[in-house]
Amino acid sequence: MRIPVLLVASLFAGLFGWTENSTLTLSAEEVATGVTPVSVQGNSVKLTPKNTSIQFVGTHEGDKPDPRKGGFGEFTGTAEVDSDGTLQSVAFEIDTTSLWTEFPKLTAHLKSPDFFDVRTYPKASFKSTSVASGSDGKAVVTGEFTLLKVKKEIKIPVTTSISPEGLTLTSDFKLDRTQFGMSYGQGKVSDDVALSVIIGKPTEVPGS
Amino acid sequence: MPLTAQDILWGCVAPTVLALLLMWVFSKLREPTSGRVASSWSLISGFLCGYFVLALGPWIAESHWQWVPHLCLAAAIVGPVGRAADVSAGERFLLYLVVSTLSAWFLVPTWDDLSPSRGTYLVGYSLYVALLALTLEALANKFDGRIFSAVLAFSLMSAAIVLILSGNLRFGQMTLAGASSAFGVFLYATVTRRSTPLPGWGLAFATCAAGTLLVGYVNSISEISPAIYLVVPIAPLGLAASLAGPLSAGTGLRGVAGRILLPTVILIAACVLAFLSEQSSYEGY
Repeated sequence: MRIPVLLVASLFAGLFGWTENSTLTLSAEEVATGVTPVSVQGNSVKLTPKNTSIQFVGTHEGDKPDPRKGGFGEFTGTAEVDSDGTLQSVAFEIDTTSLWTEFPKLTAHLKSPDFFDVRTYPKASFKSTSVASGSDGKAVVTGEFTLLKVKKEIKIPVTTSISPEGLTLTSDFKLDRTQFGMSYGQGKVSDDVALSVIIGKPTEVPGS
Repeated sequence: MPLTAQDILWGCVAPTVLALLLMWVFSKLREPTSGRVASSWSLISGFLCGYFVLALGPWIAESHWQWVPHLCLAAAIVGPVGRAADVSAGERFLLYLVVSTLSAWFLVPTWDDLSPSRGTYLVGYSLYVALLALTLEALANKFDGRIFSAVLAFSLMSAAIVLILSGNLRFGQMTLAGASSAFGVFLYATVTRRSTPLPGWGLAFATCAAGTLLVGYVNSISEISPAIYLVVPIAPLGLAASLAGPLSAGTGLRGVAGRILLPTVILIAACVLAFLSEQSSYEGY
Protein backbone atom coordinates (compact mmCIF):
# COMPACT_ATOMS: atom_id res chain seq x y z
CA MET A 1 0.00 0.00 0.00
CA ARG A 2 1.45 3.27 -1.03
CA ILE A 3 1.58 5.57 1.89
CA PRO A 4 2.50 9.17 1.35
CA VAL A 5 3.86 10.30 4.70
CA LEU A 6 5.44 13.51 5.97
CA LEU A 7 7.88 13.24 8.79
CA VAL A 8 10.81 14.32 10.79
CA ALA A 9 11.35 17.64 9.07
CA SER A 10 8.52 18.64 11.38
CA LEU A 11 10.70 17.75 14.30
CA PHE A 12 13.54 19.90 13.37
CA ALA A 13 11.64 22.63 11.58
CA GLY A 14 9.76 23.10 14.79
CA LEU A 15 12.94 24.18 16.46
CA PHE A 16 13.14 27.61 15.00
CA GLY A 17 10.70 28.58 12.27
CA TRP A 18 10.81 28.26 8.53
CA THR A 19 11.97 30.69 5.90
CA GLU A 20 11.25 30.27 2.23
CA ASN A 21 14.75 30.25 0.85
CA SER A 22 16.51 27.32 2.43
CA THR A 23 20.10 26.29 2.01
CA LEU A 24 20.89 22.67 1.33
CA THR A 25 23.18 21.33 3.99
CA LEU A 26 23.84 17.98 2.35
CA SER A 27 24.76 17.21 -1.24
CA ALA A 28 22.60 15.00 -3.41
CA GLU A 29 25.25 12.27 -3.13
CA GLU A 30 25.12 12.43 0.65
CA VAL A 31 21.34 12.20 0.65
CA ALA A 32 21.26 9.27 -1.75
CA THR A 33 23.91 7.35 0.16
CA GLY A 34 22.77 5.07 2.95
CA VAL A 35 19.05 5.97 2.79
CA THR A 36 16.80 3.04 3.68
CA PRO A 37 12.99 3.27 3.69
CA VAL A 38 11.40 3.04 7.14
CA SER A 39 8.64 0.44 7.43
CA VAL A 40 5.11 1.28 8.54
CA GLN A 41 3.65 -0.89 11.31
CA GLY A 42 -0.12 -0.71 11.36
CA ASN A 43 -0.83 2.97 11.01
CA SER A 44 2.28 4.12 12.84
CA VAL A 45 5.86 4.85 11.97
CA LYS A 46 8.28 4.83 14.83
CA LEU A 47 11.11 7.31 14.41
CA THR A 48 14.38 6.87 16.22
CA PRO A 49 18.03 7.82 15.68
CA LYS A 50 18.43 4.39 14.11
CA ASN A 51 16.33 5.39 11.10
CA THR A 52 16.29 9.21 11.16
CA SER A 53 18.91 11.92 11.00
CA ILE A 54 18.54 15.48 12.24
CA GLN A 55 21.42 17.80 11.44
CA PHE A 56 22.03 21.52 11.49
CA VAL A 57 24.68 23.92 10.23
CA GLY A 58 25.42 27.17 11.99
CA THR A 59 27.66 29.93 10.68
CA HIS A 60 29.38 33.06 11.89
CA GLU A 61 28.61 36.52 10.58
CA GLY A 62 31.19 38.34 8.46
CA ASP A 63 33.80 37.30 5.94
CA LYS A 64 34.58 33.95 7.54
CA PRO A 65 31.32 32.05 8.11
CA ASP A 66 33.20 28.90 9.26
CA PRO A 67 30.14 26.62 8.98
CA ARG A 68 29.83 24.09 11.79
CA LYS A 69 27.72 20.95 11.50
CA GLY A 70 25.89 19.29 14.36
CA GLY A 71 22.76 17.37 15.29
CA PHE A 72 20.90 15.46 17.98
CA GLY A 73 21.74 11.91 18.98
CA GLU A 74 18.65 11.05 21.02
CA PHE A 75 15.01 11.63 20.13
CA THR A 76 11.74 9.76 19.85
CA GLY A 77 8.97 10.29 17.37
CA THR A 78 5.80 8.84 15.98
CA ALA A 79 3.90 9.48 12.82
CA GLU A 80 0.34 8.35 12.31
CA VAL A 81 -1.11 7.63 8.90
CA ASP A 82 -4.66 6.79 7.90
CA SER A 83 -5.90 3.95 5.70
CA ASP A 84 -5.34 6.06 2.55
CA GLY A 85 -1.70 6.32 3.43
CA THR A 86 -1.72 10.03 4.17
CA LEU A 87 -0.07 11.52 7.19
CA GLN A 88 -2.42 12.41 10.01
CA SER A 89 -0.09 13.55 12.76
CA VAL A 90 3.46 13.58 13.89
CA ALA A 91 5.01 14.22 17.26
CA PHE A 92 8.57 14.35 18.45
CA GLU A 93 10.52 14.79 21.59
CA ILE A 94 14.23 15.65 21.42
CA ASP A 95 16.73 15.15 24.19
CA THR A 96 18.68 18.39 23.87
CA THR A 97 21.47 17.00 26.04
CA SER A 98 22.27 14.66 23.14
CA LEU A 99 23.36 17.61 21.00
CA TRP A 100 26.54 16.83 19.12
CA THR A 101 28.98 18.68 16.86
CA GLU A 102 32.31 17.82 15.37
CA PHE A 103 34.20 19.70 18.10
CA PRO A 104 33.93 19.09 21.86
CA LYS A 105 34.35 22.73 22.81
CA LEU A 106 31.64 23.80 20.40
CA THR A 107 29.33 21.08 21.71
CA ALA A 108 29.87 22.30 25.27
CA HIS A 109 29.21 25.90 24.25
CA LEU A 110 25.99 25.06 22.39
CA LYS A 111 24.75 23.13 25.42
CA SER A 112 25.44 26.09 27.74
CA PRO A 113 22.96 28.84 28.67
CA ASP A 114 24.39 30.83 25.78
CA PHE A 115 22.36 28.66 23.39
CA PHE A 116 20.37 25.52 24.23
CA ASP A 117 20.71 25.75 28.06
CA VAL A 118 20.26 21.98 28.21
CA ARG A 119 20.47 21.76 32.03
CA THR A 120 17.37 23.94 32.41
CA TYR A 121 15.61 22.83 29.21
CA PRO A 122 16.57 19.18 28.58
CA LYS A 123 13.70 18.60 26.16
CA ALA A 124 12.42 20.13 22.96
CA SER A 125 9.20 18.93 21.38
CA PHE A 126 7.06 19.18 18.29
CA LYS A 127 3.45 18.27 17.69
CA SER A 128 1.86 18.71 14.29
CA THR A 129 -1.55 20.32 13.95
CA SER A 130 -2.12 19.88 10.21
CA VAL A 131 -0.54 18.55 7.03
CA ALA A 132 -1.15 20.13 3.62
CA SER A 133 -0.21 17.67 0.91
CA GLY A 134 0.83 18.81 -2.55
CA SER A 135 1.99 17.06 -5.68
CA ASP A 136 5.03 14.88 -6.31
CA GLY A 137 5.34 13.98 -2.63
CA LYS A 138 5.70 17.55 -1.46
CA ALA A 139 3.81 18.84 1.54
CA VAL A 140 3.79 21.46 4.28
CA VAL A 141 3.54 20.37 7.88
CA THR A 142 2.19 22.82 10.43
CA GLY A 143 2.76 22.29 14.11
CA GLU A 144 3.76 23.68 17.49
CA PHE A 145 7.38 23.54 18.44
CA THR A 146 8.68 24.14 21.94
CA LEU A 147 12.30 25.09 22.49
CA LEU A 148 13.73 26.71 25.63
CA LYS A 149 10.56 28.26 27.05
CA VAL A 150 8.99 29.38 23.77
CA LYS A 151 6.22 27.56 21.94
CA LYS A 152 5.55 28.71 18.38
CA GLU A 153 3.62 27.51 15.39
CA ILE A 154 5.83 26.71 12.45
CA LYS A 155 5.41 25.42 8.91
CA ILE A 156 8.02 23.33 7.15
CA PRO A 157 8.38 21.97 3.62
CA VAL A 158 9.01 18.26 3.17
CA THR A 159 9.45 15.85 0.26
CA THR A 160 8.60 12.20 0.70
CA SER A 161 9.12 9.06 -1.32
CA ILE A 162 7.05 5.96 -0.76
CA SER A 163 7.79 2.39 -1.81
CA PRO A 164 6.63 -1.05 -0.69
CA GLU A 165 9.61 -1.09 1.65
CA GLY A 166 8.48 2.04 3.47
CA LEU A 167 9.13 5.72 3.30
CA THR A 168 11.98 8.16 3.02
CA LEU A 169 11.80 11.86 3.55
CA THR A 170 14.11 14.78 3.06
CA SER A 171 13.70 18.31 4.25
CA ASP A 172 16.02 21.31 4.03
CA PHE A 173 15.16 24.69 5.43
CA LYS A 174 16.40 27.64 7.47
CA LEU A 175 15.36 28.59 10.97
CA ASP A 176 15.65 31.81 12.95
CA ARG A 177 16.96 30.82 16.36
CA THR A 178 16.16 34.17 17.90
CA GLN A 179 12.43 33.55 17.51
CA PHE A 180 12.78 31.02 20.31
CA GLY A 181 14.76 33.24 22.64
CA MET A 182 18.17 31.95 21.56
CA SER A 183 19.56 35.43 21.11
CA TYR A 184 23.11 35.28 22.43
CA GLY A 185 25.81 36.16 19.94
CA GLN A 186 23.70 38.20 17.56
CA GLY A 187 26.00 39.95 15.15
CA LYS A 188 28.63 37.25 15.66
CA VAL A 189 26.66 34.06 15.07
CA SER A 190 24.06 33.99 12.31
CA ASP A 191 20.44 34.07 13.42
CA ASP A 192 19.54 31.67 10.61
CA VAL A 193 20.43 28.02 11.04
CA ALA A 194 20.29 25.60 8.09
CA LEU A 195 18.57 22.34 8.94
CA SER A 196 18.43 19.00 7.20
CA VAL A 197 16.22 16.08 8.16
CA ILE A 198 16.34 12.69 6.50
CA ILE A 199 14.04 9.81 7.29
CA GLY A 200 15.71 6.66 6.21
CA LYS A 201 19.21 7.75 7.14
CA PRO A 202 20.41 6.80 10.63
CA THR A 203 22.04 9.31 12.93
CA GLU A 204 25.81 9.14 12.95
CA VAL A 205 27.35 10.84 15.95
CA PRO A 206 31.11 11.54 15.57
CA GLY A 207 33.20 9.57 17.99
CA SER A 208 30.46 7.10 18.90
CA MET B 1 33.67 33.91 18.83
CA PRO B 2 35.69 37.12 19.13
CA LEU B 3 34.55 40.30 20.87
CA THR B 4 33.05 42.89 18.55
CA ALA B 5 33.61 46.63 18.76
CA GLN B 6 30.21 46.90 20.47
CA ASP B 7 31.20 44.28 23.04
CA ILE B 8 34.35 46.21 23.86
CA LEU B 9 32.63 49.60 23.89
CA TRP B 10 29.66 48.69 26.07
CA GLY B 11 31.16 45.74 27.90
CA CYS B 12 34.52 47.26 28.83
CA VAL B 13 34.95 50.95 28.00
CA ALA B 14 31.54 52.17 29.14
CA PRO B 15 31.65 50.34 32.53
CA THR B 16 35.15 51.72 33.14
CA VAL B 17 34.15 55.28 32.32
CA LEU B 18 30.89 55.03 34.25
CA ALA B 19 32.63 53.75 37.37
CA LEU B 20 35.29 56.45 37.09
CA LEU B 21 32.66 59.18 36.76
CA LEU B 22 30.59 57.86 39.64
CA MET B 23 33.63 57.75 41.90
CA TRP B 24 34.23 61.40 41.04
CA VAL B 25 30.58 62.31 41.66
CA PHE B 26 30.56 60.59 45.04
CA SER B 27 33.75 62.40 46.00
CA LYS B 28 31.79 65.64 45.79
CA LEU B 29 29.03 64.43 48.10
CA ARG B 30 28.87 64.46 51.85
CA GLU B 31 31.13 62.11 53.80
CA PRO B 32 31.20 59.61 55.39
CA THR B 33 28.22 58.05 53.61
CA SER B 34 29.49 58.83 50.14
CA GLY B 35 32.84 57.25 50.97
CA ARG B 36 31.15 54.01 52.00
CA VAL B 37 28.92 53.71 48.93
CA ALA B 38 31.17 55.07 46.19
CA SER B 39 33.13 51.93 45.28
CA SER B 40 30.18 49.59 45.72
CA TRP B 41 27.78 51.56 43.57
CA SER B 42 30.44 52.34 40.98
CA LEU B 43 31.32 48.67 40.62
CA ILE B 44 27.74 47.53 40.17
CA SER B 45 26.68 50.44 37.96
CA GLY B 46 29.31 49.54 35.41
CA PHE B 47 28.43 45.85 35.70
CA LEU B 48 24.75 46.58 35.07
CA CYS B 49 25.61 48.90 32.20
CA GLY B 50 27.43 46.09 30.39
CA TYR B 51 24.79 43.50 31.25
CA PHE B 52 21.75 45.39 30.03
CA VAL B 53 23.20 47.38 27.12
CA LEU B 54 24.69 44.23 25.62
CA ALA B 55 21.46 42.36 26.40
CA LEU B 56 23.33 39.60 28.17
CA GLY B 57 20.12 38.68 29.94
CA PRO B 58 16.52 39.80 30.48
CA TRP B 59 15.37 42.55 32.82
CA ILE B 60 13.03 40.12 34.57
CA ALA B 61 14.76 37.01 35.84
CA GLU B 62 13.24 33.68 34.87
CA SER B 63 16.18 31.31 35.08
CA HIS B 64 18.53 30.98 38.05
CA TRP B 65 21.51 32.71 36.43
CA GLN B 66 19.39 35.69 35.41
CA TRP B 67 19.26 36.75 39.06
CA VAL B 68 22.93 37.70 39.10
CA PRO B 69 22.51 41.42 38.26
CA HIS B 70 19.60 41.88 40.69
CA LEU B 71 21.52 40.24 43.51
CA CYS B 72 24.64 42.27 42.73
CA LEU B 73 22.50 45.40 42.98
CA ALA B 74 21.14 44.29 46.33
CA ALA B 75 24.68 43.59 47.55
CA ALA B 76 25.84 47.02 46.37
CA ILE B 77 23.07 48.67 48.39
CA VAL B 78 23.40 46.57 51.53
CA GLY B 79 27.17 46.22 51.62
CA PRO B 80 27.94 49.86 52.53
CA VAL B 81 25.30 49.73 55.27
CA GLY B 82 27.49 47.18 56.99
CA ARG B 83 30.32 49.70 57.06
CA ALA B 84 28.40 52.31 59.03
CA ALA B 85 30.24 53.41 62.13
CA ASP B 86 27.75 51.99 64.59
CA VAL B 87 27.68 48.52 63.03
CA SER B 88 29.85 45.95 64.79
CA ALA B 89 31.77 43.25 62.96
CA GLY B 90 29.33 40.62 64.18
CA GLU B 91 26.34 42.60 62.96
CA ARG B 92 28.12 43.23 59.68
CA PHE B 93 28.65 39.48 59.21
CA LEU B 94 25.01 38.71 59.95
CA LEU B 95 23.88 41.37 57.50
CA TYR B 96 26.17 39.96 54.80
CA LEU B 97 25.00 36.42 55.62
CA VAL B 98 21.37 37.40 55.05
CA VAL B 99 22.22 38.83 51.62
CA SER B 100 24.46 35.93 50.65
CA THR B 101 21.82 33.41 51.71
CA LEU B 102 19.25 35.24 49.61
CA SER B 103 21.71 35.17 46.70
CA ALA B 104 22.27 31.46 47.12
CA TRP B 105 18.53 30.79 47.19
CA PHE B 106 18.05 32.38 43.78
CA LEU B 107 21.33 31.42 42.10
CA VAL B 108 21.61 27.75 43.00
CA PRO B 109 19.50 25.78 40.51
CA THR B 110 16.81 23.32 41.59
CA TRP B 111 17.87 20.50 39.28
CA ASP B 112 17.24 17.02 40.62
CA ASP B 113 20.70 15.81 39.58
CA LEU B 114 22.62 18.78 41.03
CA SER B 115 25.79 17.56 42.65
CA PRO B 116 26.59 18.33 45.37
CA SER B 117 23.03 18.81 46.57
CA ARG B 118 21.20 22.14 46.55
CA GLY B 119 21.35 22.19 50.33
CA THR B 120 25.12 21.87 50.27
CA TYR B 121 25.40 24.67 47.76
CA LEU B 122 23.08 26.92 49.77
CA VAL B 123 25.07 26.55 52.97
CA GLY B 124 28.48 26.60 51.33
CA TYR B 125 27.86 29.55 49.04
CA SER B 126 26.20 31.65 51.76
CA LEU B 127 29.07 31.21 54.18
CA TYR B 128 31.70 31.61 51.45
CA VAL B 129 30.35 34.95 50.22
CA ALA B 130 29.60 36.36 53.67
CA LEU B 131 33.05 35.47 55.04
CA LEU B 132 34.77 36.71 51.90
CA ALA B 133 32.94 40.03 52.05
CA LEU B 134 33.67 40.45 55.76
CA THR B 135 37.37 39.71 55.30
CA LEU B 136 37.68 42.00 52.31
CA GLU B 137 36.15 44.85 54.31
CA ALA B 138 38.72 44.26 57.02
CA LEU B 139 41.51 44.32 54.44
CA ALA B 140 40.13 47.42 52.74
CA ASN B 141 40.94 49.42 55.88
CA LYS B 142 44.58 48.44 55.72
CA PHE B 143 45.51 49.11 52.11
CA ASP B 144 45.99 51.95 49.71
CA GLY B 145 42.85 52.31 47.60
CA ARG B 146 44.88 51.88 44.43
CA ILE B 147 46.33 48.55 45.50
CA PHE B 148 43.05 47.21 46.81
CA SER B 149 41.05 48.18 43.72
CA ALA B 150 43.73 46.83 41.35
CA VAL B 151 43.65 43.43 43.02
CA LEU B 152 39.85 43.26 42.97
CA ALA B 153 39.85 44.23 39.29
CA PHE B 154 42.41 41.54 38.51
CA SER B 155 40.36 38.97 40.41
CA LEU B 156 37.24 39.80 38.38
CA MET B 157 39.26 39.71 35.17
CA SER B 158 40.55 36.26 36.11
CA ALA B 159 36.99 35.14 36.82
CA ALA B 160 36.01 36.30 33.33
CA ILE B 161 38.90 34.37 31.82
CA VAL B 162 37.97 31.17 33.68
CA LEU B 163 34.34 31.49 32.59
CA ILE B 164 35.28 32.05 28.96
CA LEU B 165 37.66 29.08 29.04
CA SER B 166 34.90 26.92 30.52
CA GLY B 167 32.66 27.66 27.53
CA ASN B 168 30.33 30.20 29.13
CA LEU B 169 30.94 33.27 27.01
CA ARG B 170 27.85 35.11 28.26
CA PHE B 171 28.90 34.79 31.89
CA GLY B 172 32.44 35.74 30.90
CA GLN B 173 31.15 38.94 29.33
CA MET B 174 29.10 39.72 32.43
CA THR B 175 32.13 39.36 34.66
CA LEU B 176 34.27 41.31 32.23
CA ALA B 177 31.90 44.25 32.69
CA GLY B 178 32.43 43.92 36.43
CA ALA B 179 36.19 43.78 35.98
CA SER B 180 36.08 46.90 33.81
CA SER B 181 34.09 48.71 36.49
CA ALA B 182 36.61 47.74 39.13
CA PHE B 183 39.30 49.00 36.79
CA GLY B 184 37.43 52.28 36.61
CA VAL B 185 37.57 52.52 40.40
CA PHE B 186 41.31 51.78 40.21
CA LEU B 187 41.77 54.51 37.60
CA TYR B 188 40.00 57.02 39.81
CA ALA B 189 42.14 56.08 42.79
CA THR B 190 45.26 56.34 40.64
CA VAL B 191 44.41 59.65 38.98
CA THR B 192 43.48 61.22 42.32
CA ARG B 193 46.45 59.49 43.97
CA ARG B 194 44.10 58.15 46.57
CA SER B 195 46.09 56.41 49.22
CA THR B 196 43.16 56.20 51.63
CA PRO B 197 41.11 53.01 51.84
CA LEU B 198 38.16 52.26 49.62
CA PRO B 199 35.66 50.51 51.88
CA GLY B 200 32.12 49.28 51.33
CA TRP B 201 32.39 47.11 48.23
CA GLY B 202 33.39 43.77 49.70
CA LEU B 203 29.87 42.32 49.49
CA ALA B 204 29.26 43.67 45.97
CA PHE B 205 32.55 42.26 44.76
CA ALA B 206 32.00 38.89 46.43
CA THR B 207 28.49 38.58 45.00
CA CYS B 208 29.61 39.57 41.52
CA ALA B 209 32.66 37.29 41.42
CA ALA B 210 31.29 34.30 43.29
CA GLY B 211 27.82 34.61 41.78
CA THR B 212 28.98 34.55 38.16
CA LEU B 213 31.45 31.77 38.89
CA LEU B 214 28.75 29.72 40.63
CA VAL B 215 26.33 29.87 37.71
CA GLY B 216 29.21 29.30 35.32
CA TYR B 217 30.37 26.24 37.21
CA VAL B 218 26.99 24.51 37.53
CA ASN B 219 26.30 25.07 33.84
CA SER B 220 29.76 24.15 32.63
CA ILE B 221 30.78 21.05 30.76
CA SER B 222 34.50 21.53 31.13
CA GLU B 223 37.55 19.97 32.75
CA ILE B 224 38.36 23.03 34.87
CA SER B 225 38.73 22.04 38.50
CA PRO B 226 36.11 23.39 40.93
CA ALA B 227 39.02 24.51 43.08
CA ILE B 228 39.80 27.20 40.51
CA TYR B 229 36.27 28.57 40.73
CA LEU B 230 36.70 28.76 44.52
CA VAL B 231 40.17 30.29 44.53
CA VAL B 232 39.67 33.20 42.13
CA PRO B 233 37.32 35.32 44.31
CA ILE B 234 39.35 34.73 47.48
CA ALA B 235 42.73 35.45 45.86
CA PRO B 236 42.56 39.14 46.98
CA LEU B 237 42.77 37.87 50.55
CA GLY B 238 46.40 37.13 49.69
CA LEU B 239 46.98 40.82 50.39
CA ALA B 240 46.95 39.83 54.04
CA ALA B 241 50.33 38.16 53.54
CA SER B 242 51.85 41.60 53.07
CA LEU B 243 50.56 43.00 56.36
CA ALA B 244 53.62 41.70 58.12
CA GLY B 245 56.92 40.08 57.29
CA PRO B 246 59.20 40.65 54.29
CA LEU B 247 56.36 41.50 51.87
CA SER B 248 55.39 44.48 54.00
CA ALA B 249 58.82 46.07 54.12
CA GLY B 250 59.28 47.58 50.68
CA THR B 251 58.46 51.10 49.53
CA GLY B 252 57.66 52.58 46.13
CA LEU B 253 57.19 50.18 43.25
CA ARG B 254 59.00 47.42 45.09
CA GLY B 255 56.61 47.81 48.00
CA VAL B 256 53.57 47.67 45.71
CA ALA B 257 54.95 44.58 43.99
CA GLY B 258 55.47 42.88 47.32
CA ARG B 259 51.93 43.60 48.45
CA ILE B 260 50.20 42.35 45.31
CA LEU B 261 52.60 39.44 44.76
CA LEU B 262 50.61 36.65 46.39
CA PRO B 263 47.16 37.48 44.91
CA THR B 264 48.78 38.03 41.51
CA VAL B 265 50.55 34.68 41.58
CA ILE B 266 47.37 32.91 42.67
CA LEU B 267 45.27 34.48 39.92
CA ILE B 268 47.82 33.87 37.18
CA ALA B 269 48.19 30.26 38.30
CA ALA B 270 44.42 29.81 38.29
CA CYS B 271 44.11 31.13 34.75
CA VAL B 272 47.01 29.04 33.48
CA LEU B 273 45.62 25.88 35.08
CA ALA B 274 42.20 26.60 33.62
CA PHE B 275 43.74 27.05 30.17
CA LEU B 276 45.77 23.85 30.44
CA SER B 277 42.62 21.96 31.49
CA GLU B 278 40.80 23.03 28.35
CA GLN B 279 43.44 23.37 25.67
CA SER B 280 42.86 19.90 24.21
CA SER B 281 39.22 20.71 23.47
CA TYR B 282 39.81 23.86 21.41
CA GLU B 283 40.31 22.19 18.02
CA GLY B 284 38.06 23.78 15.45
CA TYR B 285 36.50 26.29 17.82
